[in-house]
Amino acid sequence: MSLLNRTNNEAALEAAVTTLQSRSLTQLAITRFLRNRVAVGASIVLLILVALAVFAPVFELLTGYPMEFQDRDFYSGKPPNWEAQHYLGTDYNGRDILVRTMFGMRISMMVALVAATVALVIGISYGAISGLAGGMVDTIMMRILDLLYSFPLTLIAVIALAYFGRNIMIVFVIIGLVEWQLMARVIRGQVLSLRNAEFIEAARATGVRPFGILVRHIVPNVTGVAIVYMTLIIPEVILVESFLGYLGLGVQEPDTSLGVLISEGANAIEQKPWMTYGPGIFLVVLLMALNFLGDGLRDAFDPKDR
Amino acid sequence: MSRTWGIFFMGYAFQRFGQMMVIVLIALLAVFTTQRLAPGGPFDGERPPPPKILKNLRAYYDMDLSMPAQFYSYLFGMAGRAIEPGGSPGEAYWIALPPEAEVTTLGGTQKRSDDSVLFVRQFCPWGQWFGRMFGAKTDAEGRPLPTLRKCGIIRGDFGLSMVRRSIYVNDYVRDGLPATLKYAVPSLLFALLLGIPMGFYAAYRQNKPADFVMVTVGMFGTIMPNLVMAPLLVFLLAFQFDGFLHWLLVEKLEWIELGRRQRTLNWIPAGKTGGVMHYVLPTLVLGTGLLGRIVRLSRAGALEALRSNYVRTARAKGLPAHVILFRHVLKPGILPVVTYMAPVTAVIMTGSLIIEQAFSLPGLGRQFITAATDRDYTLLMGTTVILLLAVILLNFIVDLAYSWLDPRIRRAGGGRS
Repeated sequence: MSLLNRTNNEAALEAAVTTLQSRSLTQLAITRFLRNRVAVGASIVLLILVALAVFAPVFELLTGYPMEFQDRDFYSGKPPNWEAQHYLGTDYNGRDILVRTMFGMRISMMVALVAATVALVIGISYGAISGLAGGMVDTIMMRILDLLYSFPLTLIAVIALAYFGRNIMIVFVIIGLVEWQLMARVIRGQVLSLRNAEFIEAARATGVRPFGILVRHIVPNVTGVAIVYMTLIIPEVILVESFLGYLGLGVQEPDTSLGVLISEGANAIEQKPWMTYGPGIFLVVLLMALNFLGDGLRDAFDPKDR
Repeated sequence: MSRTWGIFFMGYAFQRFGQMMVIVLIALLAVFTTQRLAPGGPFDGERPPPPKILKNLRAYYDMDLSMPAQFYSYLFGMAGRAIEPGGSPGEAYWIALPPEAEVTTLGGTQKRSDDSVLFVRQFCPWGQWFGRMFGAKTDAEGRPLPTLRKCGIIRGDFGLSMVRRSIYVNDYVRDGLPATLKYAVPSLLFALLLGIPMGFYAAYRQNKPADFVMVTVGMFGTIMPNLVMAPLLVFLLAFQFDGFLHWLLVEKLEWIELGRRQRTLNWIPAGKTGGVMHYVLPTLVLGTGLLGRIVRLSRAGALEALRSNYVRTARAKGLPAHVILFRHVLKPGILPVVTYMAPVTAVIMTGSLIIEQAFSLPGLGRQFITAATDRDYTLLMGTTVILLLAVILLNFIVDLAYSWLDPRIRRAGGGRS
């Protein structure tokens, strides 16, 4: 199945030479996606959230409250006040919660993107090796994956983060190491079905080396599916990141993330509930939008699963 | 149970037991090496102990040995210097040392002089069973071997905590495991007993309003993370419920005056332990998360079963609905749920870290976090072993249940996937 490969010139050429089917498949998928109103709505919401996160510094200028600014008049946590432009209230240090939530979302999204890419790279290599090698190697690698399936890898992430510091790069890598399994499974399935495809056989017959086949034929054809499944991994990654942040193992001050903000609020839930509202609502809406978008994309691009 | 099933079970159980041991060993080795390779250790805090005491501490916890030796002593115990046994097995007891014995305790390495009696503590919960199995009690000439100072996890001794150095890890587990199970098991039951009927009903009423409601509830459960759910429920049920009731009954419905009551509700406590009510909120938070998945899975399973030929035949025969449900739809319908029971342990465990933090419960998850942040090596290894055993045990049960539900697997020789 060659999906979403119109950007890749060679793959498109190749597809055009064989049939026009791949292009029409993609177009079909896009129309199918656009017909799914929930998914389209989710992507609009997601776009708004991404814009808010990306333009968080602008936002900071607009409200006039920088992220680290401690408002003396609103010290020790005051409820939302529209006249003072503290739309979601302030935290213990008089910092504006809305602005902090924007910055937290920024970090969460960054972690999501990078960690999902790490997961993508690991998953693609694992799945591709397993699918291409076949035989005993495939069996053993899949057996390992089965064992890991019910294994609480998040606990390992907790241990690793507790021991090796809370550097943000380590957070990226560790979350990627937790979330790669689904990707590996999907990619292996794709590779298995591609392995016996005619154009691969032709390449093999003309003497292309296995590595060349992998780079020139398998990877471009798997990319589309990988991107679809990446949107399904991203909410998981955000969840893991906020989980680690809640436990105090994620990013550290002065940076903040949604999980850190929620844990700060949860400690003061009795007296200052507004400290949890903002970040909590943003996290839930973000996860919801990503989930709906991912489901919609998968339904559109992966017709067998509908 | 037929005979073939019994034979299948035996072989399968043995195979799984071997696998289990290997997994536990690998995980333990991984945690162990991570701990020893990472910078920092359990004894360096803000005020590190004086060098002499540090040396004794390291000797007591065998940290002056090489890493393989340390791992061996953690697993199989470490023979002390010549000491003779006393007391009864199954609890920590004191052993009187023979003259000229040299032993390392938390107080330091000492040599027993003639007039002072030196005792050392030994802790071997499963010593009476596994002591015989692993290692002989007497040497070649029939003299009793030196008693173990440490028994190793093979004899049930998880060692002494490295940060709180008067508490055995076994005691932590004994206190922590029930606290975790007290909300983990009810939440699983809650999710199963509510989720499976909901999913089946949704499948039965596919594309009707009832289906939509159930699917929405399921979606809500899957998307709402535990860490948002916990503070939300605490706020709504524990702190605001009282005010809400007052608003509803007194102000809105102009009902009876409820009398003076405190602002914070004590019906549903939001933290610490105590009676049954203290576990209501943790159960709800963890249960809703699981409920969502279970509703979705059982709905999918039931839909597939309802579409099958044998259900159509049963309908055509004119069997009553409940017979079709229990005889034909139930077993294949809950298969996806049963498969999900394997990773559910992992979900519960990661959830337990959040929930025990949010509700300040003294469970295993909390001890795991404290152990990881305090670098309490023995406590971390102990909790990891217990959590792993829980995962593996549940996986085993799930595999058996699966093979019982789906005869095709039994014939193929076991195993999911």
